[in-house]
Amino acid sequence: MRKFLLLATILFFAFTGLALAGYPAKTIKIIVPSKAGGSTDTSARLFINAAKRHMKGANFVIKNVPGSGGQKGFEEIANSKPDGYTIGMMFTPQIVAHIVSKRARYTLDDFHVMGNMGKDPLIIAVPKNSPFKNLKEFIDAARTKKLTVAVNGIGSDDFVAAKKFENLTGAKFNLLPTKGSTEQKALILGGHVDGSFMNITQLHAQHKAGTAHIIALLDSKRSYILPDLPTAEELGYPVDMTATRGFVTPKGVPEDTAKKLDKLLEDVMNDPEFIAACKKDVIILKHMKGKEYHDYLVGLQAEIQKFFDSTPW
Amino acid sequence: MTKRLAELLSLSMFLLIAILLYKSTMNFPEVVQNSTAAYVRFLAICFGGLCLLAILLRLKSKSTEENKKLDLAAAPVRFWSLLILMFVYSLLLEPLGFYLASALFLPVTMVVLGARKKILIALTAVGVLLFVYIVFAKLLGVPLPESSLF
Amino acid sequence: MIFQALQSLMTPTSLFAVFAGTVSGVFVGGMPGLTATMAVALLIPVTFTLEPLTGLILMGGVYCGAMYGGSIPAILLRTPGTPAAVATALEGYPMSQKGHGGLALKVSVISSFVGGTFSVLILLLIAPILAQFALIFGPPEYFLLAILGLVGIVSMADDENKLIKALISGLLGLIIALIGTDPISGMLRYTMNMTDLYDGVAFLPALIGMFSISQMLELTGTKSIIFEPSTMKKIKREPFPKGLKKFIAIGSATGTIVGLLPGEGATIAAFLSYNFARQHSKNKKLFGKGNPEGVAAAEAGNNGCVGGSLIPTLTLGIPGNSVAAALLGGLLVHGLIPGPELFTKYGVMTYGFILSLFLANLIFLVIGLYMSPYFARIAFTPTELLIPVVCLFSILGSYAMNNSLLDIFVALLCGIGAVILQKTGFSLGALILGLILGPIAETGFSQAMIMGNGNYAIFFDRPQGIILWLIILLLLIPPVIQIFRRHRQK
Repeated sequence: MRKFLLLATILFFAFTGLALAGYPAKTIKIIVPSKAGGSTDTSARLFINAAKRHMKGANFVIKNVPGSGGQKGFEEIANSKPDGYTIGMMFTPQIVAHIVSKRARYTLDDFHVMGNMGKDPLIIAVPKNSPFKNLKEFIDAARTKKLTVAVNGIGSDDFVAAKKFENLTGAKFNLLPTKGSTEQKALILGGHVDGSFMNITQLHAQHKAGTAHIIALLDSKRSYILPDLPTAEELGYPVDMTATRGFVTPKGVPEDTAKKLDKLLEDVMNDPEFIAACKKDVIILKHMKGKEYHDYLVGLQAEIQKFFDSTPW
Repeated sequence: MTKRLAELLSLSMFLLIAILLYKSTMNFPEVVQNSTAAYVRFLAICFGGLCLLAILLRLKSKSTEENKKLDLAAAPVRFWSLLILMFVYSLLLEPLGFYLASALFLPVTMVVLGARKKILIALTAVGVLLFVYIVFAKLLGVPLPESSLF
Repeated sequence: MIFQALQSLMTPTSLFAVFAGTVSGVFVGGMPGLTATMAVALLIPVTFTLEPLTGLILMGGVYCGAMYGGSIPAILLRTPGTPAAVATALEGYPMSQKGHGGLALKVSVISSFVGGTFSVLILLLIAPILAQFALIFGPPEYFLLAILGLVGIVSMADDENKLIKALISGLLGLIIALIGTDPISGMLRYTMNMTDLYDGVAFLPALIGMFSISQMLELTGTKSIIFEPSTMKKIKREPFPKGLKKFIAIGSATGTIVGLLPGEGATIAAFLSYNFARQHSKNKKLFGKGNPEGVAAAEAGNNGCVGGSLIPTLTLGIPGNSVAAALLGGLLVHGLIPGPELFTKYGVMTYGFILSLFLANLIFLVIGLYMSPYFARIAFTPTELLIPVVCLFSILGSYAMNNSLLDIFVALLCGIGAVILQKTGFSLGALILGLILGPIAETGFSQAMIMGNGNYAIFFDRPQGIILWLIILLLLIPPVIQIFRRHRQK
């Protein structure tokens, strides 16, 4: 028995590896607050592929912490050891929306923001045989009668975008919350709803195949994915809403390690192979450095606070 | 405890749950009073009603079958020690880490359940841990509970 | 084009990929806590260095293999490797207890093969037509589908006393499924402020608890899984039972249709097939006590989901379940966008992929048939060694699903809870049915109410809904009449 315990202890220490030479001396864990196989997860895996080229000898492992709109994962990142061996992915607006709705047990100050990686602007889509051919007809109809519109849960980017439209135009939507983009796609393709607010990468394929019709992009500029798609601003409705996806670490990582990590993200963002891979997977890259992204997050939080105060959820 | 009493106890507990469930829907926001709150109320009414019916039927029936003793386990000592060991193991996962906690859990449980051959115990335990290390940790990169002490 | 596709499949690399994918799929499916979704996600970055077709084939193999693999521990140890294998455990494990574990495994692998092959054939031949069918299901229909599944509770009981208990158990399942976030308002309810419960009670850990852990607790009183060790010698070669064709057919058709519906999983397909089989069986009494008909229907059902779920994935880009969603990610990585182009411009690859699924089914058939006598020996392991190891993997599996410690306690609580409920005469099958269908019933009902502006008419005025109502009535009437007759006889 005693021998066995000894053996077990030796094995245990051999596994965890106590050699602490320079950073990174052991596997870096990336917490991904969503399910394996989703687009956030895929982008983290693509990141690892490229990061291995830029940080020699580094090893990465993904820990998926799905659920509760990412909150569980965000909390785990915020509470993990700030030794540089745990980093995490985060996405907006959920990370700030949870703070605003007072559910989160973290604040933005609990994170060191490494930077932003990609973005995914919102769109408005209607079924292919919808009576509304463009945004104007859609909004005008919504002014006279409540249109049923699918969104991805209360407090999500889709929901905020719909509310923005209501505030701007006086239109009224009968909001139908769903569990995610799969359900929204099925509702739109099956013609069960009048319209849907969702992300461009979730529906562009159906738009191209002609099974759904996207009528507006809620971004400041047109997207390279669908260059013919007008922005809402061009059509006279200045509303924009974009989801972003970036990297953070818990607050308190040693400064030189944090610098190394920030640099790693920058290197990966400039890696041609990575860029090519993302283009194929239609992840829309948009790099923001730590400081810039942090300011963006703070601004976004203030903006969502306004919506929460007027219509809490 | 007889089987009849155990049944009555669980049914009354369910009845209580039904009442609490029904009451809780009052606190649901206005927007869902017509959708999810209606659904929850429907469940609560059915659940409570059926429990009440079951209690009445149970009180009326006088079959001797029901007066048998309720025995949860054929071997109570092993049954409860296994349950307790599993709880302790789960609690130890976080402070000790997966490997150390498992290296304790496996042999102890085997001995408690009546295994006596030392070699067999050691071989099984080491085999399982090695398997987990190779397949879960190395091959598939599944994160295992980590120690917070070391 | 199909010929070309066949050619591209007949290269050594492709063949090896199918083989490797399927074998690892069977393995991943058989280990509780390792899922096909996880394995497919793991493969996505790997496929960059491979030919797109090779990558896809690998993923397809994993998907097919895992769906079958889940049934192995479900039959032998009552430990579901995947949630979809729970229905199999209901019949397969009692068979193991009687010493027919080898036969149960054989029935399971053959039914899996037939179900899988049938659904892939449908995928190959009439995918675009069926995809349109998937779209006619809106929220009201999902609610009715849940009701259709819940009707199965009635057929699980044979007298009014048991019926009441089964209904209470089903409702308890539906109520446990309420824990989490309100699907409409996003409000948190009954979560006791635990983040791990925000998405509801995790499903696989609860099932592992109710099936695996409760069973291990009960096994503490015995020397081995098999009741009478004297049956040991008979196990070697048992003839395949006759009359299973009907049940395999029921399972394959149900599985393919349910698999088609976006978001509906193999678990529901398996349970629905199981209930249909129960209704059509001549040996109703045997159900729950080890009826190979139940194993056949359930396994054909969950494997039928594979081809079914790929239909909306490939034609519309709407994944039928989470594995299909991960697979969709794998397609997009290679710039393959679901839609008609996939079947024309990239036809060679798409058809190559579909054809590889046939091969994957064949591979697990051979492996399963060859290995089942060896697997069945697990049942002879002395319990003092078996129980700790199975408990360890049950706990590890509960944790690994969502990397959550709370899930382990969910599993343990469900384990002891299941023992108590069963001893007091409640029905575990009904409880699980409620737990599985609860979220679909609630979301469907609530979304339909919003779509219909608070009017119940929406459940009755759509033609697709009326058809579902008719099926519900057809399923409900026979068992109710039977219970009434029994009551009179008394």
